[in-house]
Amino acid sequence: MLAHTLFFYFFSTIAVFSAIMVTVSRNTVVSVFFLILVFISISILFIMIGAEFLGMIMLIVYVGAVAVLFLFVVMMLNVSQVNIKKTSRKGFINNISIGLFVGIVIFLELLVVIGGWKYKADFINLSEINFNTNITNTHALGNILYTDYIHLFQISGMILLASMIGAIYLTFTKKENIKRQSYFEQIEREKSTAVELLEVENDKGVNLDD
Amino acid sequence: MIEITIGHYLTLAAIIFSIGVVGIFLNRKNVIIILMSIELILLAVNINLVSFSIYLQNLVV
Repeated sequence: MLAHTLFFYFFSTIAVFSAIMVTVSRNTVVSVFFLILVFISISILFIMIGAEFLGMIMLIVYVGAVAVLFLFVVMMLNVSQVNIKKTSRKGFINNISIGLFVGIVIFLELLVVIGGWKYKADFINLSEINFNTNITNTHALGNILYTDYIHLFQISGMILLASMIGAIYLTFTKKENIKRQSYFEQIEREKSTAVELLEVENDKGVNLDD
Repeated sequence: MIEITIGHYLTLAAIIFSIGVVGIFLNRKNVIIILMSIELILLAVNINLVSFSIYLQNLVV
């Protein structure tokens, strides 16, 4: 019980501190890194409470995809307020402290959660939150997701598809000055329109139209 | 205090939700930080859902 309490306070303190840093920090890249730290801490809390499937999915989706997407957007838009015009060494030294801080905290959290995973059943059974340890989380989710809630599952898939189509439609623009491949023109070419046989006079060469 | 109950998780979710809401107002000029604050709000909602699901034991029957 005491261990569970200590773990909860440790991770939730880190999560709250990082969430504050996300909103307070002036540099956008730094707040993306702290957002990653928030998600890792909360997913560790999920794993501790017994929702290991959701915790792992959060690691994959948020840390792996969304945070990297944010980083890409930040780098593409170049909105960070740091003056990059000075030497790049300066920026490296400025950012190394915050990067090392986030990296070391994540490493410590991983060490702690590996220790905690070994005694997971003790934590969960000793606390007030009851949890059935006979069946894994993925198994239980699959049992109900594909049977009882199959219609909701399919509807959410449809909503995802609709949002994807919407995103593609919003970003798809026809530009005039771009040379695109036209498949029909390519296929419709014939020998009579594409090749011309000329009688070449001596010392004159061929005079092409264009 | 020493025993972690559902109230602790709900409080954590409430704190993160509030930080997200405040973050939207603090960084109104930076769109990306607004998006990150919305992510924080969604994360708080997720914490609520998971803690209620574990508390009510309505997943593992």
